Amino acid sequence: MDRKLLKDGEFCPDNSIVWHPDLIITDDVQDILVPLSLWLSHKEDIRPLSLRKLLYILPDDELTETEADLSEFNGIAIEFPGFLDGRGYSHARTLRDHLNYRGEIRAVGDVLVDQLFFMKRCGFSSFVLKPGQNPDAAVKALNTFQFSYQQGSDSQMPLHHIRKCL
Amino acid sequence: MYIYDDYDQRIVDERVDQFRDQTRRYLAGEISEDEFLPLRLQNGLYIQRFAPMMRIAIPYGLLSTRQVRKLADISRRYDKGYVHFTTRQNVQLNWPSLEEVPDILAELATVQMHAIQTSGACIRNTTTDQFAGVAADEVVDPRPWCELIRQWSTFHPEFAFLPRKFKIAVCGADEDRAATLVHDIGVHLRKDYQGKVRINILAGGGLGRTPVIGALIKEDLEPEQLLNYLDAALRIYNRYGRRDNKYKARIKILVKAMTPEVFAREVEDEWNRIKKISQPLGPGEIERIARNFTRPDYEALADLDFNDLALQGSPQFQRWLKQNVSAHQQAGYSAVTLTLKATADAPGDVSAEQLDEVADLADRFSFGELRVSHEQNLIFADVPQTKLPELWQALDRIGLATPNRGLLTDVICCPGGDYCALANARSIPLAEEIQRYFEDLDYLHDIGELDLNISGCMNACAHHHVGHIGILGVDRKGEEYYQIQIGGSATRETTLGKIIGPSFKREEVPDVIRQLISVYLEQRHDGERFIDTSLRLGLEPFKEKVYGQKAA
Ligand code: HEM
Ligand code: SF4
Repeated sequence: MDRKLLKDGEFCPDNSIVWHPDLIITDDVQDILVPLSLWLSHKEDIRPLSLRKLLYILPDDELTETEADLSEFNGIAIEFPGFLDGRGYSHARTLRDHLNYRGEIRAVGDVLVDQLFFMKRCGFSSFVLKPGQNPDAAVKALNTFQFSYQQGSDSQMPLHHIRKCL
Repeated sequence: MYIYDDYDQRIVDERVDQFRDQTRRYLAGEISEDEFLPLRLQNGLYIQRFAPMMRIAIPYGLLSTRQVRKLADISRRYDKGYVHFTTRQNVQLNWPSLEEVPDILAELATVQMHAIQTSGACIRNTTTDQFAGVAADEVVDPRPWCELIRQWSTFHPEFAFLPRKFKIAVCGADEDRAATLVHDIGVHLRKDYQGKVRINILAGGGLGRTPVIGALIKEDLEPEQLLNYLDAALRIYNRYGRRDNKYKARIKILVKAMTPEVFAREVEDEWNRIKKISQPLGPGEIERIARNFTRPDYEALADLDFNDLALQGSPQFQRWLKQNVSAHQQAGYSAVTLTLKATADAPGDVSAEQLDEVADLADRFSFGELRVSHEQNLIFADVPQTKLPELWQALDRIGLATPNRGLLTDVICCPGGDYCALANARSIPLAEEIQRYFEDLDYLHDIGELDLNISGCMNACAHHHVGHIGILGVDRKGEEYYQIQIGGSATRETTLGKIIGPSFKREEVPDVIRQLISVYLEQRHDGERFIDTSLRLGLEPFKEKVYGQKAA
């Protein structure tokens, strides 16, 4: 595994693995990503596992089905099957804005330097970079723009509020 | 003209830095071809038939003369000394090199211009009425609303990777000059009985291979909620629009599949959720934006009697006055259209020299501003009527006084096979042949208003479905053919044209058009335009004329 997790400005190895019922969990695994469909059918098997659990969301998933269970997870991972598939952005915003989710939201899959700024603004707080991405460029990309026109799901104020406060 | 504040400037400057860095990383092999593609597209850079093509935004069609001179300068230094005005209030360079694009963007940023989101599967440049702010039939000035949408859509973090491109058009006048019914979203600004601005939203219009007229999904939206509502509509599209098939990915397919009623309901629900957490736009913001639009320093003038004015000039001047000069809100002023449709010039093309001359004239006659229209023409929006004869002379001298606005030879035409890799057929040479064939001005003026649109393939870049006569380039066993349709229009009562029958070779097309027009001339009622007659009569008489009795 040479995937790196970027979180709070630091890199660490990504020791996560997607859970399935026949999974043999080795020692190096720290986080399991639990696909929403398997969670719905295997809650009782998954609950006792003493690993960090992230709910694993795919583009087609409907988040409203998960609302009650979110507190059972240490975080949420949203899959980008290809970087051109932008549905993950809407999922993150729905979690932050409508489901009021405050925990970790992690971008996984085809996660590239040049989309990190958008991901951050949609409420993602950690990123598993696709292998081969330049780590320095990644850190820099999180701050590409100082100001943003529109309301996002991060802490940045939209420009029309800043202008109003002047 | 909207004048940037420090924040606006900083954002475009940071964009230049970002793309410079991305280009460097791409050239160094750090970014793959596939990964670079959307990055360059969202900075306007296509790779097309012979070279890159760069599309620069002219937000809602407004240009200052400083910007025009900069475009001329850029086209000389980085290109072949001409530019192409498109059907979407953009301007294109045809030969820039990839390595120089960051420099071009930096040059543009010095005059408050950019190429942000002029391509790619994102929210594109917002377009509007070329007579915004001056049209006599205007109810609400669309420009501040367009700028608001421009700002909201610029680097919108959630909607940079939509299923497909997304185009928004805004209209605030009685007549729809922005083709809002064939856009992904159409924004109609109106006033209620108390004089308050209210907004109607249409969704799911579009052209391309499946032309669809947009459906009304929201009436009387409060302006404070415009951006929240757009967020909701785009989110529904982003989540449920098809991504498996490029030709089925536009919002029109989703709206059709869901039905407009269900789509509207989904958007409404999402909007209700958004409203709970997102502050409405304060009235101050629209006012601030409106204030950042400079208003020309109009003099108190009276309207002139155009009959008198016409008598002072030559027949050419009279034609131009009738055809290219439009009514204005401000007494004593007129808006003047410079059609970029002189025979033998590719529609929409302007040389660097002409741009400089146009800029000088706009400084002298129209407060240093000009507009571009989706008909690929330029507009001097604020000309004192007393100066019209002098302006005409000056335009005539540089070949920009062609008196054909709205006439058959004011052809809307895509780049077609001469430039575009997707083309089935060339469109520019056909436009020229038609212009040559119909050189007789008396005949043209007798025919009157007639929109002729030519697209080189079914992607419909020249809106052929909404031309009164629409021509589509098709490929028949490797040969260029042209399919003809009639009865399209992009107004409040938008109609889609109907194909008259089998397609033609290029050399046959001008005469077929003449035959179509002859049916109109024989059968028109008093005051009817070609489009009115064609809708009243239906296809049959036109088919009969062109293909003979048996085909019909
Ligand atoms: C030469 C490079 C160009 C390419 C490769 C290109 C490609 C396309 C494609 C593929 C579509 C169809 C999109 C769809 O149906 O989903 C389209 C639509 C369109 N293009 Fe172009 N285009 C080019 C140049 C232009 C130019 C120069 C103009 C203006 C003169 C233009 C204006 C438009 C417009 C107005 C549409 C509207 C149809 C719609 O949005 O439904 N394009 N273009
Ligand atoms: S209509 Fe077709 S040929 Fe014309 S510019 Fe568009 S894609 Fe190219």
